Amino acid sequence: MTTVLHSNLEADLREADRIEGIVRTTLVDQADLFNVPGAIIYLGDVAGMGSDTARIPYASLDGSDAFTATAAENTAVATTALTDTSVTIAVVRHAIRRDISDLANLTSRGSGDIATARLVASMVGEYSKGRMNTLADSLDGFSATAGTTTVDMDVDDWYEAQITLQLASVTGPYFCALHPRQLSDFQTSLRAEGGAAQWQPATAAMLAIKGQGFAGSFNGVDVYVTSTVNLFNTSADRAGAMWGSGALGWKTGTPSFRPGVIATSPSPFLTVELQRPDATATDALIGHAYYGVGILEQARGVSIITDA
Amino acid sequence: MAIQEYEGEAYQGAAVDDRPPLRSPGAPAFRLMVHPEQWEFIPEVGWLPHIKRMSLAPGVNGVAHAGRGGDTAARAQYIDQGFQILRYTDTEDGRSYMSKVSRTTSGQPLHHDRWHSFKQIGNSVMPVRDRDGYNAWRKRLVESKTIEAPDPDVLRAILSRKADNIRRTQAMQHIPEMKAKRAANQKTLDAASKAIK
Repeated sequence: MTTVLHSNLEADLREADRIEGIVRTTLVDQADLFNVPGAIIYLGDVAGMGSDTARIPYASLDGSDAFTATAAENTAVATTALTDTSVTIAVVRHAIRRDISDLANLTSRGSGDIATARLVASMVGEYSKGRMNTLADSLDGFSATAGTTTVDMDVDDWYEAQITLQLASVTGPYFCALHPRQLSDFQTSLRAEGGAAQWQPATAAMLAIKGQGFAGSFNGVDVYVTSTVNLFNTSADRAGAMWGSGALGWKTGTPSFRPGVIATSPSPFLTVELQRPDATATDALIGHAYYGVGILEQARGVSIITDA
Repeated sequence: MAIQEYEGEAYQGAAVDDRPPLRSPGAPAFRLMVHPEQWEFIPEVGWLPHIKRMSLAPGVNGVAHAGRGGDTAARAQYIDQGFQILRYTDTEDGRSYMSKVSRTTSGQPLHHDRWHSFKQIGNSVMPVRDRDGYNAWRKRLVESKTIEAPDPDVLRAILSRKADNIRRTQAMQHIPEMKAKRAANQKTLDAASKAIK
């Protein structure tokens, strides 16, 4: 009698290998500081405002200028000029497109497999990543700088950044975004330090509130780690930053749904439109998001440029 | 009907760039800027300007799409904030400080400064840096008067902040690493102080 062996069954009765039904995500950094309350001020939507570019006005109010004593009780008081400035934020379209054929859809093995629904859901992460890239580009624009090019980030750089904010009377809370390399160097430096200042690592409860990317706190400042932090200075450095609330802001644009357009919004400010290109038997999924990010006040932030 | 001639592009042989696309998500174009209050001291070279980058990605710090004014408003904003935006040709040989790798795995061009290139080893990309060339360029920006020399009071203010850090470690000298670091920082501080003209 011939034993029934798996190896004999392969090809006709058994499969040599089988692709599992759930497609896992490759390693990806999903930190999103836009979900952190106060870190990046939301300035509203440009829909119906008459322009895609917003000018955010600032004026020396509420104590920027102060009362002064008059020389005498009947001295005529001169006018104090109002100092004003403004910054612009341009809301632009960001997009990504995926195409999937009907055959690829119908052979999908369920909700965890690649199909139209999964690709739409994935666009939430892709939108988030694009937004973080825009934020990282914005962080490059702070004029104040702590750290030295090609030198590992250390505790001195941290204090230099924090003291710069304190000297400018920047109100808290403070936030810090670092590249993983910067955080690693900083923690290495911290281990050699004495004194009472301690790194407070993220706990499960804090992660639940602050989301992925929260690494911990030091000296009262929440630290977020993100690989989107840009390379700088011949790619020798990374340009992280520390800032106080109000330093950064963002604006959005939200298109309204039109009759006859098949679209969904899997996340606020993200629209995914489903199109059927002529005679191709494919779904074209186009994700649109309209936003712009910008530094609102230079004095409220510091770049931390240290070795990559 | 006139005869049309077509010359096909080479697809094999030495004329073809058969390297695979660079593994990179790409990076947007940029301008480089300096700010009169931002300097750093490099012991081998002296005081050099911190170079800042103005991203030209639409949606960043007021940059609009090209058809909507591009970076015009953003540049005005940076200048208003005290920055000096360097011209692309503010280099010794007049060649732009920005370079570009067009072929990347993401399909997005990778813009980078000219003082480094890339080496792809397996699936990793290693930057190859010309630190000396970069520092020499930064130094020459001052020497050629492309940018103003640093104000001594600005440099002293920077050193004052560095001195704060040295004072902070006064009580940590029982830790050998901190003692060595403190001595090195003091040496750099002294050299930086002497280099103020």
